[in-house]
Amino acid sequence: MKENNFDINPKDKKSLKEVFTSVKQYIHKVFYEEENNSYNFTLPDTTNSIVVDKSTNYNSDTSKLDLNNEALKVLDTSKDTVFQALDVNLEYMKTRFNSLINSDVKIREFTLNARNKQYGAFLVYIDGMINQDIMNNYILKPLMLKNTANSFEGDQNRIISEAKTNNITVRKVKKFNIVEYISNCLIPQNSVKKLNNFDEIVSDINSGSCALFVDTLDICFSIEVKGYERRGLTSPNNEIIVRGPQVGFTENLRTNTSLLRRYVNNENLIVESINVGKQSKTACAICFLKNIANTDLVSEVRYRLNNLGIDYLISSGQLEQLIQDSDLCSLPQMISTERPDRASNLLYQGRVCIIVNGSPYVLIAPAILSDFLASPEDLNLKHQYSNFARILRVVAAVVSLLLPGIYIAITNFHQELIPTQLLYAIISSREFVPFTLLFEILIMEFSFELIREASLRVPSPIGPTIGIVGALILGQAAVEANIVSPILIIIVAITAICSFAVPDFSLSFHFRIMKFIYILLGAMAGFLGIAAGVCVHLIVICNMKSFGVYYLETNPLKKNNVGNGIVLSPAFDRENRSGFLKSKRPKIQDEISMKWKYYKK
Amino acid sequence: MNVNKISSIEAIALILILTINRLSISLPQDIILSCGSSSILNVIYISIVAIIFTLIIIKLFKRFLGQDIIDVSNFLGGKTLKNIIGVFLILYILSISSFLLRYFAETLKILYYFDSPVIYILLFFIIVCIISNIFGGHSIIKTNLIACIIMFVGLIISFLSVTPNMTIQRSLPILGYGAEQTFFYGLTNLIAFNGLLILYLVPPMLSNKSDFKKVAIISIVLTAILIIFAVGSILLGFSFSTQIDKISSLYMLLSNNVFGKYLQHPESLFSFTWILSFMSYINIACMICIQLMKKVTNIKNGKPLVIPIAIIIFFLALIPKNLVYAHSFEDTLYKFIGIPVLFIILPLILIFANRKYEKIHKNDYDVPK
Repeated sequence: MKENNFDINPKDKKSLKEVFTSVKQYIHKVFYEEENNSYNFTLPDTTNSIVVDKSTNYNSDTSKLDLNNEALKVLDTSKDTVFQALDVNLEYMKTRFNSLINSDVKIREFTLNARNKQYGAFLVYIDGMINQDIMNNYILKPLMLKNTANSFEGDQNRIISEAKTNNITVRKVKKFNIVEYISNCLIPQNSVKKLNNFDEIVSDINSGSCALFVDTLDICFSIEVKGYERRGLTSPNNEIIVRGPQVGFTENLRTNTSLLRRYVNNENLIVESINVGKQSKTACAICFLKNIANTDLVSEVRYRLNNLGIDYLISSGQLEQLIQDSDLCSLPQMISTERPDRASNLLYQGRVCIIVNGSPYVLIAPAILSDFLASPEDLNLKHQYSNFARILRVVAAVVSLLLPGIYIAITNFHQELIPTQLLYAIISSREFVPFTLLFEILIMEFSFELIREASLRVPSPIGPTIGIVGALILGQAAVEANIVSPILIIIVAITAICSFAVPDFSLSFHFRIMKFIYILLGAMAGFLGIAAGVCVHLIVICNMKSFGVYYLETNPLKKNNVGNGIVLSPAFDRENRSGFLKSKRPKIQDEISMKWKYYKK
Repeated sequence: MNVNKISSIEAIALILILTINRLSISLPQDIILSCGSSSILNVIYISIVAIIFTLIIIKLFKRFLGQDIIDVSNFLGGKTLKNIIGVFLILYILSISSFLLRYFAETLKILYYFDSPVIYILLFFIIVCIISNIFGGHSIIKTNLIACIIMFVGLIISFLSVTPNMTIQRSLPILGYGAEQTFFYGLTNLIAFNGLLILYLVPPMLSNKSDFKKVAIISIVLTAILIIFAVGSILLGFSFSTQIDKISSLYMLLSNNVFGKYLQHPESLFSFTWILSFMSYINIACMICIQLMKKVTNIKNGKPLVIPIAIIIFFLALIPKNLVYAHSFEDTLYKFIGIPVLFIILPLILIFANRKYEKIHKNDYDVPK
């Protein structure tokens, strides 16, 4: 009898074992290994490096910190005065202006010639804020070059008058004074101040003067050499406001940094240069306030900019796409502004600006959803006006996103919501329209998007004509030809107007795209479809991060978030910086900011 | 899926969402049908009981700061008890959420989608559940907070809008079907506070572990207020003798209400908020199941479990033949499994764990007594 051989040969045994092992490994890989392919940066707290400014007297959270911690830097510069040793002054200024990383702060060391004697000296100024011609011809030239005026002996005293009596010569001599000499003979400027206090000197430099330090002198000459770019600056094209500055960034990096300097007017503003692009080496600048911005945030921005493997970079729009956290959602993840006042405001909040040479739009990180619904004008207006406008914008955003979808949902599934008379009107207006509601609404929305795109692309004089032809003539003709119903024209028009009320171009674009998805969801399942869309949309938004900050800050009860979200509190009550920024200075102003009113002697 | 850093308000929303959803479908009419005109009295009574019970739970958890019932079970009975409780809770959450989903889907089908098969409606919830859970727990909890606020405001508006139609005499006789029915048999209505289940699981999720007491008390008080409002408005709006057990009583109340000439029937708007919060509820049910599975099996990555769990919920939801079966399944689960588990078994585990803790640390003076 033939025996059945059920023995598995060793090769098969091995392969079974291998299969078993690989299955085990697969299960282990799937369930027991953390996902490490996603880049996840979260902004940490920087409470151990909070800067305590002793010059202010408010009771901030920092007062509770252990001040023995060495990481806590105490900055009280109000009593710092100029030293006699030039090297010490040089080191002080370098530290104060962070000259190692601050690319636009220039320190020019040279030898000053005065009466055949040479003194070590240096000038400190901010590139982009001074006039180069004045600097070269009227500051450096007289100070460095020998000329007849200062060619005689160094310490000679000046004889004012001489009288001889009984062979005794009596001379009235004015002792040589180097300070007077430099001020009166070597600096042919109309405005020269002799300053001793470093805070005053730094303030002058920030506003466009240059500071001259000379060896052995315990004073500094603050020489006014202001030379901002004025004629080249124009008002912003796309962020128009009624009340506020009417100046916008330009294509020139240095002009933009000088604009920021003028608005910020603080030596803690760091302008760090970085070149991006292997071929183009486009000059970019990272700007932040050293004593406010979270150090990890700045490092993260620097890290992302330094790790871009691209050949060229032309605009900030390209850069935005390359350094944003996620490309999954079309929502903007960085603020893009052409207004220096807005950029400065955000810098003072603790955010980081990125300027790209050749682009008039400055990128600001991190950003949350409410930033894109805020206008630069909000802070210039009374909080009641701003809040009214903000609520309007939020309503407009929701309407521009959901109205066509809700219309189709109501008319197809939830007719009971419509008042009876209006329902009759809708039915009668659609009586002769041969298309389904979905097709009709898609035609209209698509046509409108087409008109909008066409009016952007045509030369500006023809733009309004396209709008008139598209909106009025075509719309009217479409209704008369029974292609669409008049009610739908109203819906599309309201949606369009609302989308224009959204202040941010990118956010508005996101809503324009999502609108079509909501139309399809509304047509598929009415409110069920819309709710599914809203739920997924919220999930995506809640999951999004911008430079370590969650995009949707939903906790309005957090103390730090009060007054910094959708609703603005009165100016005197905006005490805290937004909590999500985890900035080094948690407070913006004193607990009682209107001291003139509430502090009575 | 990192859900160990949720704020107190997010935790409150997590507990509230479990009750809020049942308010829009079956809970108020269940209470009214069981107690009649004494429903308001019954709800006040069970609210007091629930608050006392919550205080006891807080006390029992005091020694296990930042630990959930699974950790406590592990402490008490080792891996075996931990696995038993974990698996049991997973099965309970899966089945209850599935039957509730089916019940809600059937309600929607009757109201708006009579031509569509129920699978079509269920798929919307399941797809949203899968997408949400793939994105992770953090976004689910944040979205839940938004959905919960919308739902809360919607419910309060709907209760206030029916106030003119209320008749106080409908709450008479004050003891309804009798004192025994109100205070003894009516005790089964405690399951209205099924959000307590989250209370057993939320401690490790809290960013500030000491907020547990605050979260527990606020959420139970808010739940009580909502239930009182819901039951009150339906009881005083309808006569309790009216047959209101067909579909969502709150929907019926709103659709019978006169809102004015221009907005005649806004109940669809409210149903929109209910759908949104129900989606959030299903997301959370799936998320909690994944969290429990991770705890029981010690796996680190829960994402591969999302689709299987969503499919299980989907197929479990298809088991009941129709709305009546779904409601009956849900009711049975709540009464015969929910109440014993929430109010007897889990507290007993906590009590025994506390005893064991006392035994272990009886000679230690630096541990909480």
